[in-house]
Amino acid sequence: MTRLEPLGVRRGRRRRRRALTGSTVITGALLVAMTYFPLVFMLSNSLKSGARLATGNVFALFTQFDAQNYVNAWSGIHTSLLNTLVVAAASVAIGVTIAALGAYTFAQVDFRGKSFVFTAYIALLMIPWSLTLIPLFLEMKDFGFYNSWWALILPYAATSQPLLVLIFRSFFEQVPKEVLQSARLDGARESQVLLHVVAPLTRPILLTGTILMCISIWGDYVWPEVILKSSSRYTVSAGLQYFVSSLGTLTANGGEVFAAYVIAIAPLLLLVGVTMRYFVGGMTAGSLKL
Amino acid sequence: MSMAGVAATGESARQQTQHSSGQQVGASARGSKHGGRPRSRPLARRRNGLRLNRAAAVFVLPSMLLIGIFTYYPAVRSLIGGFYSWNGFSAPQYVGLSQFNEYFTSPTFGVEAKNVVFLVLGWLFITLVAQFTAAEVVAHLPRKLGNIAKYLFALPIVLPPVVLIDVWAYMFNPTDGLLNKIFNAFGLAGPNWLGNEHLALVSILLIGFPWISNLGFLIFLGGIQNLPRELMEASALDGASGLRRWLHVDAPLLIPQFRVAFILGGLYMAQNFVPILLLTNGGPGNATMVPGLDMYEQAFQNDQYGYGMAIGTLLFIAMLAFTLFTMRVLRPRT
Repeated sequence: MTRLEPLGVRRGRRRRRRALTGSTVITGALLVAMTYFPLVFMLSNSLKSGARLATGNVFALFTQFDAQNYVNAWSGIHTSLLNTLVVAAASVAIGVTIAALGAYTFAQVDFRGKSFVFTAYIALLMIPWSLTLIPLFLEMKDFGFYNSWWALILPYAATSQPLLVLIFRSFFEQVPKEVLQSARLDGARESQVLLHVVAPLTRPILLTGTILMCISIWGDYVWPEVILKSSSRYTVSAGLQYFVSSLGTLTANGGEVFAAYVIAIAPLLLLVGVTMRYFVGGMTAGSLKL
Repeated sequence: MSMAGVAATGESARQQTQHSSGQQVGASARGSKHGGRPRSRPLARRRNGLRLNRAAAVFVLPSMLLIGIFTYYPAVRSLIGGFYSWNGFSAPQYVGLSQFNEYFTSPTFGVEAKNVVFLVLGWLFITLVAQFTAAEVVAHLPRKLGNIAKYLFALPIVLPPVVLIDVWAYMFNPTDGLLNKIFNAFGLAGPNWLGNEHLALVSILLIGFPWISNLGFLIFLGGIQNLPRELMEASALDGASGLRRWLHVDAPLLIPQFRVAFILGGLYMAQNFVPILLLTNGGPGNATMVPGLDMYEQAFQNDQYGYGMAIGTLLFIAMLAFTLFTMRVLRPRT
């Protein structure tokens, strides 16, 4: 691209662009700092012992390193954290597998009534969780699932379906048909095509689906609190709240509460931190629009 | 249970596949956009695999079973349940529209409606501005910095709402909270954030400031990154710059993203009563009462399941109207 402009104009433009980049960097740094300040405070407070937390200078970050908070917090919430791991593993195993099967059908298989069935999935996006909260509770009681993890696992797998099927489908469609067709000609059954050809090629989006389910299971507070009677079966959000309400953030045990937050989010931060590239890539690939 | 609510149409993906091969027009394009128009399929395809292929339609059955039992059935049950008075023990009693009337004439209906509208509009405004700004900043940063910023903004998406709410509750504390310590540092007396009836609802909105780390950020970023580059360069050469370029070139192309973010954000806030449940429980007085919390309390504290489902149905209708309205107003202009 050759531009015929007087030298001064070009230089001015370049200077302006550099100034623009500079202000963009500053804005970005400010936004990052604002996003992270609650987390920094959480981390700093989790290491302070109670008296220091309530009376000391709140702006004094990382002035104390009291690991005892973590010991106490762990004994308070490790049960709910382990419960969450079990529930999330089962929900993801069911939810992602079933969604992948469904998405494969929508992406690669031709059958009568397909567009109608697909519309049924789109329509699901219009059903808010608040509408199904009460009847789902009653239904779980009818099934005898009250106070059981099945009342978490099956609804979690089910509510993840519309989103997962939609994002999986758009990625499964990108697998060239010739590849699938040649596998079929080699005698592969459809289930083998999905397992050995499509799944390996689309592993990043399957991982993204897993992460999305984990985020929503970790974050769900209302449903476990409603459907589980024993607090020993709570998953992490409800378990945290149970632990916190027994202590309070501004009491002598405040540090333990913040330590509990850190422990509760650590596994999720680790999982998503390690797989960030796939997660962000999968979510920004352009499939999220209406 | 909060993630049912994003739509992915995969349009760009579909276009790519259509380029990549000539013989498979039938299968992928027929499903959605192009309707069920009959097309003559190449003979080879019809012979070698369609029958086998069609058998795989059963793959969708487990997923359909799951959504049928755990989403569609409860949804229908909820729509019917609003017409029955039921305490969970004795037999349900058909009461017609009386529970809906009861809600409309209840003393808290007015404040609940006002609060939910305030929360939804306020939330949409602050989150869309914040998330879109952050996405633009990331897109305009030099590549390496942009990637770092992108990951830094995306990471807190994983934070459970309960943690965010509790940390903010600590900051809101009138005597020892962080916000009022900042006020004190400037020699000002900080307000009672959650205890003041005029301020409590605003405080609820403040939770999560600066509101960037949300799905909306990724939606906008995806949209901005996938803007056609030639078009951007052409408009830059034409001398369009800054705000004008954004208004006339970028913004119209990003309407699909705005539409999703708007609908998702609105539906999220319309039923998000968890911060209110945990921090104010509707108070002080009824100042922060919202329909979702009312529904929850009627069902799970007062055993008024039928009445709760009536409120849930009304909330659903309002949300549906909001969605349809948004879909109409934010139509992609072609």
